[in-house]
Amino acid sequence: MTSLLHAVLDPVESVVLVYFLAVNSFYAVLWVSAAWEMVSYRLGTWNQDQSRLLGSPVTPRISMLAPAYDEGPTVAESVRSLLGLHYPNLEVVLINDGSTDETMAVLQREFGLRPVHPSYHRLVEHKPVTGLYRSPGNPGLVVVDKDNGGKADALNAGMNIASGDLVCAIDADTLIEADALLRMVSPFLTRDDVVATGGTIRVANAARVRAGRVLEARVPHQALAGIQVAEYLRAFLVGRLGWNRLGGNLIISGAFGLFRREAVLASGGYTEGTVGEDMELVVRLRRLGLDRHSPSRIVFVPDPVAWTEVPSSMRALGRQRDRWHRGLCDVTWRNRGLFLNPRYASLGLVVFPYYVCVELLAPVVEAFGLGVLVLAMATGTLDVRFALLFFLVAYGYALVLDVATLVLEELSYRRYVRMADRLWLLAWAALGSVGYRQCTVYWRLRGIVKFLRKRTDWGAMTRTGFQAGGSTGLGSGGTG
Amino acid sequence: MIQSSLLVRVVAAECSAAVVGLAMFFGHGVLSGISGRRTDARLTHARVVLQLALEDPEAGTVGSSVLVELPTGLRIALLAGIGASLAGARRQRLTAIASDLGVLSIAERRCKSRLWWRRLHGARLFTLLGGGTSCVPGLLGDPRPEVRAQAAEWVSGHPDEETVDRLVSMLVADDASTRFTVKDSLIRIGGPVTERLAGLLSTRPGQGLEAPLEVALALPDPRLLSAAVSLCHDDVAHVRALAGGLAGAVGGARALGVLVSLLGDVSPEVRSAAARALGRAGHWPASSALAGLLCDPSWDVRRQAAVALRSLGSPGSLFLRRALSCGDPSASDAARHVLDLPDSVVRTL
Repeated sequence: MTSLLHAVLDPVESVVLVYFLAVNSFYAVLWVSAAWEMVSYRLGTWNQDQSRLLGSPVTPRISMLAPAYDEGPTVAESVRSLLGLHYPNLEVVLINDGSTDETMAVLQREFGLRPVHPSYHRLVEHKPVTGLYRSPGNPGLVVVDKDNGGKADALNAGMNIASGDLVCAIDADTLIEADALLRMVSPFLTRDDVVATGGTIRVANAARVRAGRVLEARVPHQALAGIQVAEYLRAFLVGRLGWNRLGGNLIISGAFGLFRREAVLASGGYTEGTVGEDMELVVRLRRLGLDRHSPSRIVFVPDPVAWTEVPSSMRALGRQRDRWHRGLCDVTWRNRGLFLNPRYASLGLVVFPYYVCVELLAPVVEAFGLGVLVLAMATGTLDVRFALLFFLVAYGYALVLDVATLVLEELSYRRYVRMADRLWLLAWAALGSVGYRQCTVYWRLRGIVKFLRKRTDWGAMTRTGFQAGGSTGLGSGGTG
Repeated sequence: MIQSSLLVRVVAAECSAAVVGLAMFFGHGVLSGISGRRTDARLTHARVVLQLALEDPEAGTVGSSVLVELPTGLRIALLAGIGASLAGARRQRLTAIASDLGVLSIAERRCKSRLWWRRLHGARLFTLLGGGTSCVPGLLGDPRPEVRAQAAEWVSGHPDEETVDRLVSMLVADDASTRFTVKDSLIRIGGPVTERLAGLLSTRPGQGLEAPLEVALALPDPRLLSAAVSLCHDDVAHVRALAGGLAGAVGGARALGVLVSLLGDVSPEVRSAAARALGRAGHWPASSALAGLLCDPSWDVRRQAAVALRSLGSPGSLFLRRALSCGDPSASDAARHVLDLPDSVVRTL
């Protein structure tokens, strides 16, 4: 019996080990690529005078698309914050996605909205628009009132009504730094083949916020939010930045992404009926660009920063991660033709296979590995010393990557200046692999199961609001 | 199978790497904090000295000992930080101070470096602080686009015949990486560019003239009119549209006549641009022709025609109101939408 178990478990162990080695080696490559990219970016932007763009008459027009659902208490401050962004040619399109609260009434009162006949060019489909409003005091503000249809539907309506060459989609509770657009637009000005750019998202839970602006970045003392600070740093500073050099990104965060409007409209806009509409759009833009030999480059720019409130309860976080993973399943399934397809060059041969084999299947392999471990322990075939050492190797590797990410942050942007915050950050990074990671494995597995059962609900996101100034969220991320 | 001893070695290596990383993370933080406090105090004092030197032309480099004693990095940061916000006499004074402090020599050395980023930094320092006539123009032909773009930005503050010619030639080159900066710089230079643009637009065929036309559109000048009118008949629709916009911006009976004829162009982009230009020119005799476009098959054309009519004041508004009750729902839709818009919004369209 024992020899039979050995015969079964040994090859399984080997597969898990090879997977572990391959994935972690790739993470190391990603970190080196990100560090290289960061050095190059920092050298290129040394003492750069961004304010020059402010006085330029040839900057492309940007339309901010802000979906809102039941955001009555915060909508006015959010819109003021968007109207105050430093960019010379800016339009703010707020889409009220069938709110049931006083969102529209607040907007009408605060901005003196005047109804205009809702005539616009309907290039992509969405739920009916019931009203269009302009503000005499703020010519750059357009308010769209429409039936509830969810985030993708609201963004499609905004996309039709926007007049900008570029559209910036923002998400629930996103606080955008005043000069973020000046940096984010840069790749569009220097390359013709760019269709989208993304910026860094940071966690705002403990940050000091006033009038829709983050005054000081702080690390939350609450474990769940704190661990997510380290997680977001890893995802953006290492993941997204590293992919810039290794074949391009597949994800632009729905919380803050700038797109060439013409390209989005030509691709059919946001897809409804998926919970990963932001990733789905980016993959489609890249795929169609390569199919049609038209622009398809996605660029991540590390220093335009948007701040977001992350879930601080297990329940809300679980729902979010389950939804993200369902989105990933859906997008990879819809675009399965890309997998190892040489026609799509690095997208088909490197980027997409990585997302399938690592991002999508990692929870399955991890859960499988844990199952084998439990089985081996139960049957007494486990070499305990080896298992402990292996655990230490795995944990140590994750810790080294986390510390390397913190070093990258420290040497580049250094947003957390207090020593106490650095200590908290290190503590949360170190604790992320114990307990938290296993929870995310469970949530992501749940996402796969729900995807297989064809569930497409979003789940609700409970927000607690920012410190000193309150939440200034906009969006319909959890609606519809 | 993997030997346990190997795993032990891996764990030891990971521990070492983590310790090094932590030392860098906390060490850099601590050192930055300490040096930050010191440098902040020095920079604050140096900033006051620099302000005084900039205010008083007679002061020479009074207090320059404070500036000279600053480490090179801080000296550069201090001067570069203030450079972008100065103009006129103060800017010239800053250039002189930067030269006295040796910052311009540093920039010059960097411009000659084999490393692209040092050349970029050299050109950027000259852009922020002034000077650089001996080495920055040479960087307009640099192999790195970042350096070429920075040199183009520098030219906007130091235009002469040769560099302006060079920028204009870069404008027609198929180089997206510098196109935006070159356009922006030429627009900032203004006057001296017009003559060269007029020459360029009248001698080259339409293809590739999009960028020069965009610059010309921001610098409308009667000298550009002949070229604009001629390009209104170009084969490329986008060129015709831009040329129509330029003709409208320059104005005059000849231009307006051509624009009215463009309202019947086969390309919706051109019809739309012509309608927009006529609206901006306030050419009310075109009201009737513009009203005809309210029934155009293209949404963009209908919208631009409606906006143009609204811009024409009473005659245009009269046509828009008539369109409200016409049988074509597209025309009445466009008219009603534009009539509803507040004046402040119409001015931005």
